[in-house]
Order: sequence, then structure tokens, then C-alpha cells
Amino acid sequence: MTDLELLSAYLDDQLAPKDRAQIESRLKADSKLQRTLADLRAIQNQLRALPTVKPPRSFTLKPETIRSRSTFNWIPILNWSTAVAAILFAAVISVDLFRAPLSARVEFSAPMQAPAPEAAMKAADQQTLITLTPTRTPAAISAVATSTVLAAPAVGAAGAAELPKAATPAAQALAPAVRSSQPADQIATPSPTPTISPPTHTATAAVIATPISAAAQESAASPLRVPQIILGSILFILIALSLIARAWK
Amino acid sequence: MDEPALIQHAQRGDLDSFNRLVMEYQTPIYNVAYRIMGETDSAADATQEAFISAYKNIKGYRGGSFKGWLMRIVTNACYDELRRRKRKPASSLDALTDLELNPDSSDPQLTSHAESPEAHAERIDLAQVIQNCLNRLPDDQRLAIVLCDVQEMDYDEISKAMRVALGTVKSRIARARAKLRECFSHHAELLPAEYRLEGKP
Repeated sequence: MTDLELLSAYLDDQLAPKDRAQIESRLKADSKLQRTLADLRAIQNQLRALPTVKPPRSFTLKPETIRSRSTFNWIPILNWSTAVAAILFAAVISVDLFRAPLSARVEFSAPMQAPAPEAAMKAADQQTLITLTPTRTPAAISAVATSTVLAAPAVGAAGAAELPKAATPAAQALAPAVRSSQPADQIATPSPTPTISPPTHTATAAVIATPISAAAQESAASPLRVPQIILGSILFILIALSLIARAWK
Repeated sequence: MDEPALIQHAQRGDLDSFNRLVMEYQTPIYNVAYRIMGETDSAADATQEAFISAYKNIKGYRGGSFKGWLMRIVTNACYDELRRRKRKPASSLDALTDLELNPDSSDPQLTSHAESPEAHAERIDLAQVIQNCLNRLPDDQRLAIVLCDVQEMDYDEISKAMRVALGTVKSRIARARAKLRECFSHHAELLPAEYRLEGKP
């Protein structure tokens, strides 16, 4: 506390006994402190001596005054509505988030054969990019991977087609792009000759390795999108109304 | 009828009983509002709002000082009015300008104590200087110092009325006094000798 705060609290008898004794001992020796205290006391006296102001009118209430002021209070209703809308919105988003990976996991449970070619190393960068994208269907894998790596059209849309032994290097490069979760050290140690690998992909790997999909597939994977948009809009409007109501009040 | 009985009747919806409480407390409540708001119209509005709010919420009164409970309500009403002023600064500036340019225009209707016209005029001048200094304080500090020094409420009551911590109350009162000290020093010639600050020449 500053000296002023100490003196002010001392004046109002609001100091703890220890602080009070300390300031009293300082007051005895410090004339500047004494003057400051005297000033504060004078201010207090002036305020206490302010004359009582007579009210300009009576403030007694009339029944009609009470009735006319009984306007409906919308703020609690808006607050509750906003809370409910927020909870519903969060619930729909959560359901959608948990639902999409599950469907992707089921679709990817079919075995997938892919070689472990030398070209896999060249496609590592492409794979990394694809790995970072959200959940997609196997069809989307071929669509995007084809456009990205310029793979041969032999890549199956269902993701279960075997790559031929004599596949083009570009097509070979596609395989590691699909099996994205394979550790980097495995990719870096390819087989001496390109061979067709047995199905080794786990569902988890497939889920992580999902590339960009088309818009139609995306909407099919998220049937809750419409409720999300509606609930989001309602939530936005309710928040805006709550803020306006508070500001108006 | 005593105060607790009036309160009980008012809690059952008896407006007449509540109005008797209003008659009892309207002067101190209006005075707090006047010192906080700085002019009569806003103070009257805040006082009326406070009593309407008190009537609507009297069922929530759970004992203790009824005056203190009313003080909290009028404090909130003044806070609301000050917030409205901040949103519409033109009207509040007009009111303050009127007050400063023509101190008598506020017509605080000071209660007379059979004093001479000269003494009455001097007392109004002094009160107006003090009120002008109060008006210059930040809202929070003005509220704290009015409750403390004009209404003589203790720090605990002020803390409850303003809904802030005890330390905040101490700090606001100290800062308000420091600013009033500075403000009064510019008007020393208007102050009677017994009120002049000892620290000033």
C-alpha cells in the first residue's frame, strides 16, 4: 500500500492493528505525513458536511407505474437459448467428427496390395502431403493420387486392385502414396526388384493415409452438414441478439 | 407499523406498505444518487428506478440493513445510468456543461436551516465546488467516496454495494481523496477558513 492508501484507511479506521501502530509511529516523526493526513481529514469533513439535498418529488410508486414498467425480460431466455444452441451445435460437430473416421475405417478394411518399389522413395513427398489431408474414401485416393503422381489408369477405384509387376514407374509411385502410414525407414529400404507386396495395411494406416476427395464424396461422408449449418446460423443469431439485448439494457 | 412488519407486508405485495418505506428512505437514497450523478434529473431517474427495482425484488430481501440493501440497488441504478451516459455522451456532456457554467441552475434545493442569505449563498457555492470536484472523478472512485464519506458506510458495506473486493474499495477511496485534494487546492479561495487544506499555502 502507498502512504496515501495507508493514511486513507487509517482515517477510516480500516487498518489492521499492526499497520495502525506502524503508521502512528511514522506520523509522530514525519510532518509531511501529518499534513497529508490533515488534508485527507479536511476532505472527509467537507464531504460529510455537504448539505442534504431535498428530493425534487416523491418517489412513492403507483400501481400503474409498476404495471407499465413490467416489461418482459428477454435476456435470460436469450442466454438459455444460446446455451442450448451451442450444446446442440457442439454435439452435431462431435458426432460428425467421430462418425467420419469410423466409416473410413470400415471402407478401408479390404486388403490392398502394393509394391515396395524404389520409386516409393521418390513419392515420399507426395505421400506426406496426402497424409496431412482429412478423412477420405478409397475412391478419392485414386482420384487425387492419379492427378498428383500422374499414375496409370490401372489403379483400382476400390483400392483393392493389384498393381501389375510391370507397372509404370509412375504407377509404382502411387502405391506408397496410398500406404501412407508406413514408417520412413521402411520406405527408405526398398526391395532390390519391384515386387507385389502382400496386403499389409492396417485399418489405422488407411485412415491416416486418406487424401483429398471430391466435393460430392465429402457431402456423402458428412450427412450432418445441413444441421451443422442451420445450428451454426441459429447460434450466431442468438449470440448477436444477446449482445444487442445487453447493450440495450 | 415498524420496519420489519412493513417489509413483510411489502413482500406480500402490499404497495402501501412499500410506499411507507419509500417515504422513509427516499431522501438518503436520492442524496446518494444526486452525489453520484451530479445533477437532479438523472438522480431522480436513478432513484425512481431503484425503488421500482426494490419493489420487484423485495421478496429476495433476506434481512440485514434495509437501508444498505436499498443503497446497493440505487448504486446499481446509478451504474446503469452512467453506462448509458457513456453510450450517449452528448447528453451527459450537456448536463455537466450546464452544471459548470451555471452552478445555480442545478438547483439542488438544499434544505434550509434558517441561515442568512449570505451564509446560504456561501454554503451553496461551497457545495457546488465540492460537487464539481466529485463530478470530475472517475465513476468508480466517485461512487466509492460518496458511499464512504457522504453516506458514511463502512468498507465492508461499500464492498458489497459495489460488488468489488475490500482492497479495491480501499484503493478507490484513497485515489478519490488524492484527486479531491488536488481539485480543492484550486478552489481554496471559495472554501471557508476552517476547511482550508493544511498542506496548502
